[in-house]
Amino acid sequence: MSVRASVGKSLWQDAWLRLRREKLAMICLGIIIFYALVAIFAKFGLIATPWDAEVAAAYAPPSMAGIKTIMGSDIFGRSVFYKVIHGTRIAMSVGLVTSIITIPIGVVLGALAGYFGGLIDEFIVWLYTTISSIPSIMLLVAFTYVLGKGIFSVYIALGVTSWVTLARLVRGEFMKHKTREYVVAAEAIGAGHAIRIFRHILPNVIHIVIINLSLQFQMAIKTEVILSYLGLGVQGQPSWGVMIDDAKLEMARGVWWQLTAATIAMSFIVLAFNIFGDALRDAFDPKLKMATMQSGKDE
Amino acid sequence: MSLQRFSIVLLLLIVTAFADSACTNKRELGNVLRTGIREKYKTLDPAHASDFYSHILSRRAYEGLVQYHYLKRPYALEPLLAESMPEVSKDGLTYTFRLKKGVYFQDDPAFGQGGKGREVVAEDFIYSFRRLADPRESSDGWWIFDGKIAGLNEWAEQAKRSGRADYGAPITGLVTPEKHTLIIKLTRPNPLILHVLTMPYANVVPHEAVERYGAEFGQHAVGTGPFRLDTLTPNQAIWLRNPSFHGQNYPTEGSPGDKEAGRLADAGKPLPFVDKIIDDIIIEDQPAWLNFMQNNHDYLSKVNKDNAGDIFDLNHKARQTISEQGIEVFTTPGIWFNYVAFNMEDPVVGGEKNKFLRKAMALALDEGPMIEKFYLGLATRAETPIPPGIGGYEPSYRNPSREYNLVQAREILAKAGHANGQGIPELVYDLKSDMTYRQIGEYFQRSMAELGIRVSLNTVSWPELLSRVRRKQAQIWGITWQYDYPDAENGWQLLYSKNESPGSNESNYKNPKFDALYEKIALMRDSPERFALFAKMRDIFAQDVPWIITVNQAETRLTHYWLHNFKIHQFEHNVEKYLRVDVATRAKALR
Repeated sequence: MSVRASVGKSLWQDAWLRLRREKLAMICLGIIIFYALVAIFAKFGLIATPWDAEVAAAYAPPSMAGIKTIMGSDIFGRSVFYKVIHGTRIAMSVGLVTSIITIPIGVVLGALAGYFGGLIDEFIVWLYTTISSIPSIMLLVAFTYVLGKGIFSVYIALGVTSWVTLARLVRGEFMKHKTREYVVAAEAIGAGHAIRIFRHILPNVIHIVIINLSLQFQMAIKTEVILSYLGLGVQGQPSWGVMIDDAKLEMARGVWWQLTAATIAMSFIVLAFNIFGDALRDAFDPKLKMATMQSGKDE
Repeated sequence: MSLQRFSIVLLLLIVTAFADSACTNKRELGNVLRTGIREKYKTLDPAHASDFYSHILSRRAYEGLVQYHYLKRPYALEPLLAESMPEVSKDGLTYTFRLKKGVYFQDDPAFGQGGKGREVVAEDFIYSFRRLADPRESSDGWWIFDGKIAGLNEWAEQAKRSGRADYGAPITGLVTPEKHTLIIKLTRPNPLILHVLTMPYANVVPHEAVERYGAEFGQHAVGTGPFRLDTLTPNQAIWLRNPSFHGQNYPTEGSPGDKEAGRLADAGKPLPFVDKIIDDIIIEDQPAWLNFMQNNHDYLSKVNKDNAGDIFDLNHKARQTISEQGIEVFTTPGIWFNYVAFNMEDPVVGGEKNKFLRKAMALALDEGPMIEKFYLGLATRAETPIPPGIGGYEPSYRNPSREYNLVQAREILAKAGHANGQGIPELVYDLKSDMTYRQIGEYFQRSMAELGIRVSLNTVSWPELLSRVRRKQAQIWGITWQYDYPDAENGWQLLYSKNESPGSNESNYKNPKFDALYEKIALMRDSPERFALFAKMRDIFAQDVPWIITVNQAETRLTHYWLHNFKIHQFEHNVEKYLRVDVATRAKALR
């Protein structure tokens, strides 16, 4: 039997190849990158600045006359298009910062619980069960009351409350992996706990984190919109939630463009993250594809 | 599941079809007035009618000594169960009412054999007033007499101590020398007592009915009014003409415009006009709107902001679709005003030394765009705490601090060394977390930015806002005041120093000159002398700018063209008796 010298593809390469074959997923990735660029450009004032200037009469309907009025104007004659762009900035920043807070907490707590088990596990499980037993919107409202209102509180509140799913998943993976041969082998050659957790097991479960990230991101965006709609989110800045709130009364006047613009902007990014997240999971774990695992469990 | 849902939909369709055909049968309605009551009523017992809709319903059957004139504006009082307005003693402490003779309670089994209603005497009023004081009743209406009628508080104390209210014990402030005379003695002069006597709390109830029905009394109505209760269910109240009604005629005089609007065509005719009232209890806005639009109700008493767009076009004229259906739109300036309040104890915006800042801010806030943007044009500029319809309102007065003038505002700031807002720290504007309030806050923020003054918005819940204001923690906030009774005192007391937070003077405004004037007008009844004092007060108000008063919001009601004599009354709810339905016209329209 001839031995074919095959260079094994890494998990990442393999996943990327599988992902690339999914046309829809690639379109979604494109949308996500586009939103990210818009957010970055808006952040550095390269586009849509200033958003709060009066560009037309109040409630001017959408017109092709100029880029500013392409989606009409709001109650103060501000450009709805610019507000959507800055809403994108807020939404993406909430998604990003929340993930930056969530991932270390979720990964570390999940890893510790799954790896060590025993009392540590019990404590961490108790902690996240407690947090998840409180309706998340109530918890967020409580946080914004304590921290005051504004985008900073939204970051913190979302970050601190939404690591539970990730911790659960990571914990499960660690429990599975800690008795595998490669970990036992690492222990045999004298690797300590920290080395085994972070160098040996973690790289093997990191795809869980990435899949979770994409779902986490869109969840954060949706929550920001809900909080801002309720008046608990961003203050004095454009947000899709605030725009939808504005639209409540405007609809009676026949002003539909603010609601439409905010809703379309939001639905595209949320949909893109959802589809991309699903595709990511299929790519990383093809065995799962046929299984009927629930996908959007964290919502 | 889906089959189940489908069958529910099918069932609903069938039910609606039947309901519709049932309606068609009902179209030969007769002389009936149909209304939508917009909240669940609590009770028909006047002593407990604290919520708006219990208040309205109980007034179908119960009456008091005095009422507000239906047509006259500013609002004026007139006798109802009294023969005339009371004689008031020189010291303002003793009110002598002579009761109308031949007023009978409506027939009810409570009156024993035959159930014939008996004549109302002064003792019945004393009984009804005592009920408010009775600790066992724990009436929501006790505040109207609490501390005001001589001896009544002592009687209540005694009842609390002994655990039993003695309705036979004499009260120094409530005396009846003969059965048609009632003398009320006050603890101190209080001309507002006549206003509280219009409230349902002060309506007369027969002790026989209270005793017979006990806890169920709230489900019955045994009054003297034009209608008697026929059926009461949680979703509907049906009233019939009271055959033993003592009688009242339609007013023969009104305000300017009433004659032109045809509201005096029935002058002098006996009331009520309709034989029956059907009150449907419909809580949601949309069904109420649709019921009215489909001619199931004769008028619409509450117009939701969102429906305002269906009624008015962007020029605030009634839409063609509305007028083509013969729907008449009534609007009247509301008896409330909105204002931006300053905390006068705040080091940055309060006090005499920061008057310039308040004045500049007031001059920079243009209420014109506010009226367009936030009130759909259904508001007018407010100048003083006296809204239209209240005695002492001056239509021609312009508050000099409220003339929009950005140039002058900037000059004032520059003169004080704060050109372009320099040296003024960021101000904090507290607002209720509500879409319109937030937008008004943003508008305020943008207006102040024109002066270079930075304002941050602090969105809080309504209870939080109140508690911040009452603890003197808020700096600037937006708020509304609605009149409790049609007397300008109710507006001015918001600036009286002794009412400072946590009282109603939430701005903590203190000015001895203003206080002295207030103390005088509080004891006066409307007269040219009193109005002259109001003028002095509003000048002080305009000069000190403790608030930026913005607008008087309007109220809107809709009627169908077959309903006559309709006029918005903001304080009197005993008004269905004045309404006349053109039955033939309606029958034609419903066919």
